[in-house]
Amino acid sequence: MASLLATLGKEVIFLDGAMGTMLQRNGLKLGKHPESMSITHPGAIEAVHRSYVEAGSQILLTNTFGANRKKLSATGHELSKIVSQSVQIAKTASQGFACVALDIGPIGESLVPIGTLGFDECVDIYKDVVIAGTKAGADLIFIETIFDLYEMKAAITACKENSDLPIFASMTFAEDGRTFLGCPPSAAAALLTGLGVTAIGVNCSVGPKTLVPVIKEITQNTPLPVFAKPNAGMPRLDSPNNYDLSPREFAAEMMNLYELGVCAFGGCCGTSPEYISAVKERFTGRKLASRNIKQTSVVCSGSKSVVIDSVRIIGERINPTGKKLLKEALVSRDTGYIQHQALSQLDAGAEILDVNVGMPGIDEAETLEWIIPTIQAVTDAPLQIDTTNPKALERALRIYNGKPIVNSVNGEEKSISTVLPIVKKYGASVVGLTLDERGIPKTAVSRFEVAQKILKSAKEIGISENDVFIDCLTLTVSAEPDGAVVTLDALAMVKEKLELKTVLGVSNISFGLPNREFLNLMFLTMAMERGLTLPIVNPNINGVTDAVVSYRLLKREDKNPDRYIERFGEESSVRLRKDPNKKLDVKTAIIRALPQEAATAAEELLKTEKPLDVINSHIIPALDEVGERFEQGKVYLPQMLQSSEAAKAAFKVLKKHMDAKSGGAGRILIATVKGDIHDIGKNIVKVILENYGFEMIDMGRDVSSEDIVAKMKSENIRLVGLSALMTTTLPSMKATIKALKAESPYCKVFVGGAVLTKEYAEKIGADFYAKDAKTAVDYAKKVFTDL
Amino acid sequence: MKFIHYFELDHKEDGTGIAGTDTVLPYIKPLQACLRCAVFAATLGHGADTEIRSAFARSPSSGLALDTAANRNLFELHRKIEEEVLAASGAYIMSVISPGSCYLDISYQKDIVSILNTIHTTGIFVNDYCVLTPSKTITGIIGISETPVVKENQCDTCTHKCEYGRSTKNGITVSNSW
Repeated sequence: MASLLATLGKEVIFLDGAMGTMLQRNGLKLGKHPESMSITHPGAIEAVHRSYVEAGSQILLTNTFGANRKKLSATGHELSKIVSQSVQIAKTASQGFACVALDIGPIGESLVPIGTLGFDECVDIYKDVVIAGTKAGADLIFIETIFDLYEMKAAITACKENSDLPIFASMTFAEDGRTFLGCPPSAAAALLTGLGVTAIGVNCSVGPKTLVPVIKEITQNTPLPVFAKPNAGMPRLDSPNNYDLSPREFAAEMMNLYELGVCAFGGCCGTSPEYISAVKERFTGRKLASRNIKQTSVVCSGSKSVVIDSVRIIGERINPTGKKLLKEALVSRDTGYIQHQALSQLDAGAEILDVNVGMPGIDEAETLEWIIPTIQAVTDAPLQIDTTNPKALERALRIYNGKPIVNSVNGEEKSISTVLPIVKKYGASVVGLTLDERGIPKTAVSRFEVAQKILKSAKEIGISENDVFIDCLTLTVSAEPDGAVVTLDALAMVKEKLELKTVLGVSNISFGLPNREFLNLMFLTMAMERGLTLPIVNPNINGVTDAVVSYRLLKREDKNPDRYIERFGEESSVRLRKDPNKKLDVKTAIIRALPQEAATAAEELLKTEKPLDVINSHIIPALDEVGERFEQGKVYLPQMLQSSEAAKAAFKVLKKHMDAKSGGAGRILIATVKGDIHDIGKNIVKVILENYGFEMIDMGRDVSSEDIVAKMKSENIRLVGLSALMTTTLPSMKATIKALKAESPYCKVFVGGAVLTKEYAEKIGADFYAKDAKTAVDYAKKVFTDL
Repeated sequence: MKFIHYFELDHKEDGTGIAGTDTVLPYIKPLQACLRCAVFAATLGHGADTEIRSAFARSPSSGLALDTAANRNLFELHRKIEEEVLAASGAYIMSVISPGSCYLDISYQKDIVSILNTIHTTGIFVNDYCVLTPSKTITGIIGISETPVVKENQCDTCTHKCEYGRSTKNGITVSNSW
């Protein structure tokens, strides 16, 4: 084993081919799990392994692809026994001529937010397999056929935390060059390299030639050895076990991958020992091809990578400092508000989002744990996790999907020793602040020296210099007249002498001064010219994104000036101009679904009326009128929603003038029940109820009855709304109602969903069946009036 | 994305087996005339779900509009699959039978996912509650017959008499709500 690993990346290595295909050709039925055969038909498994050894395979994958407690639950066989037996069979078959790799495939369920499997549960499932395989004596771990980068991260985390065995990590890409979940090869390369696997590869789905673009992107974006186990082309419709490439054709197509620098070759679905023999015949004696490895800084989410090869805006708005509404949203877990903040920054030009939740009175780790998936559910932009709390950082990095930026580490020994190991463990990039035990150095040279120290410490622990970004710190010139000059000089030194990417919180420069926006813009431009790569700014401020896009054009970073033209071209500059003299009252603006006009009218009304009076006398009557028209069939749901959006715009204006605790028509908890992931209907009801002044506590989807009951109790909720779309999840609804009533008989429950009827709702103990959003509002009003 | 696989059918007293698998369908009257079937799974993909969530987060009305458009696309995909199976079969086809329809319990969703290996062919998952992800996904079985088929109006044999039902009179099928 040690000798084989020593040749990895230096000589050609031959992996094995398909196990499932071989077993199906010998009678295994479709849909059956081959893993059980390690117990029931060990001879058959051993025969397949032996045939691959004879064909030249140097690494055998154990018959454990689907061996996890989820998939094996129906077989009656114990996981540890199957794994142990499978390893022993492979060892016997190898006769010392091949290494034995513990094969780990996908669990078979989708992870949050797409599905219902939690990250920690996923790690736990993989942990069982890893422990069993390591104990049984496997030589390495081979994770394969994964198309969810999040699941791959969970599998690798389970391996790193429970075994010292080398890890080969292989993802599956479709014909369009991405995985089924949209993960590009560059994102896979970035994260898997950061996580410190031994080799990265691609397997299954398509044939060798189709994999060329994928392999090219991977070999260019990682220094690690790269392997390939493609299918034998595409399956032939006339026979599921036959694929369209012969062994010779397969080996010929593999040349395309060899030329890109792949160092280990095998096969997946449709292949057999003949395919491995053909590959071995073609590649034995060949030296490895050279690779064109780019030295780039890349951060990613599960489905998007951002290459930091030019100025990229980091949006700063998700930071509670000085933001009343955001603070309220963090406390009340207003996921809609958070998501809106994230998306508005991206729409304004941000490419990465900073996420900071530090404020008194909330648990930072717990908050990051819900806010990160909330944001990642609606955007694929990479995130910058902004915390100095090690516990919160560990938690956030663990559940983040992709490779984030950590903001930050600094030059203090304590910071270096606590933050960098966490960054290394989860393969993130890190921002280094140029301050240390002495505080913020006054000179550019001193800050540069701190940067050197941080870089050295990062490299010592195994973090690549491509993953270290330096923040030379921005101090306001109102207090530090030399502040701008020192920062810019330090920035230039870091860029020229250390060749690192740089970060700055730009807006700090103008604190305490008038005309902040213009001053910030000037400083931003000066900083970019001196080497700033990642400005942390508010992209919604006029001119900020314009400045960055213009800078990129002038510096030839936007070679075909697509972004510039997209932003400033004729069509984009056409704005619908409303007649400024035409003013609408709030009620009319809401009925006509005009958000801007509704907000303006609300602002005007506040001059003479109190916020609660505006709500009760103008907004609610408007919504009531729209609701009546909806019931009469004169308007439809989209129009009702648009009116809600106009009402929301008016509410936004009013909220600034309202005490957080004042007003409120009542508090309602809403959720989609356990097992169900459908939430469009629930979200629509939530929006409509919010506009009637109800405070909505939205627990999301796939929520257990235990969690709903706990929340009801802790928040002293009097009205709960439950949603389900499937007949299979109605039992969850029934169980939740029963649990709620047992804990709190005074709590009212209303239900909704496509499969529900009034009769069934009564049968399962609900207090009310809401056939649509309007009836939900009417019921909620009645409940809180009666209380 | 779609994945279609063709199987022989094995009609027995207690149901109809799908050859090469352990799946046995219940007695389905229209299927009895068929000796083959196409089993399919099709999806708009996980990207569609993400886009709908994003659209909803920006503007509920936009999210609703996009969700509706996605549903329309899914019906169109359904129609294209029927056309493809018809063209490939060179014979006559039945109406699609999907898990959760009046003919087939929703638990057969797991069978279809398993025998088509949809996780690896199209990225389609099914959870313990038979909920498919991505959410814009359809699965089904299309019976293939060598003899002309009279497409049965499923509403005539369905026990759930809902307001959306259709009746067939004089060979013409119309909605009950018209």
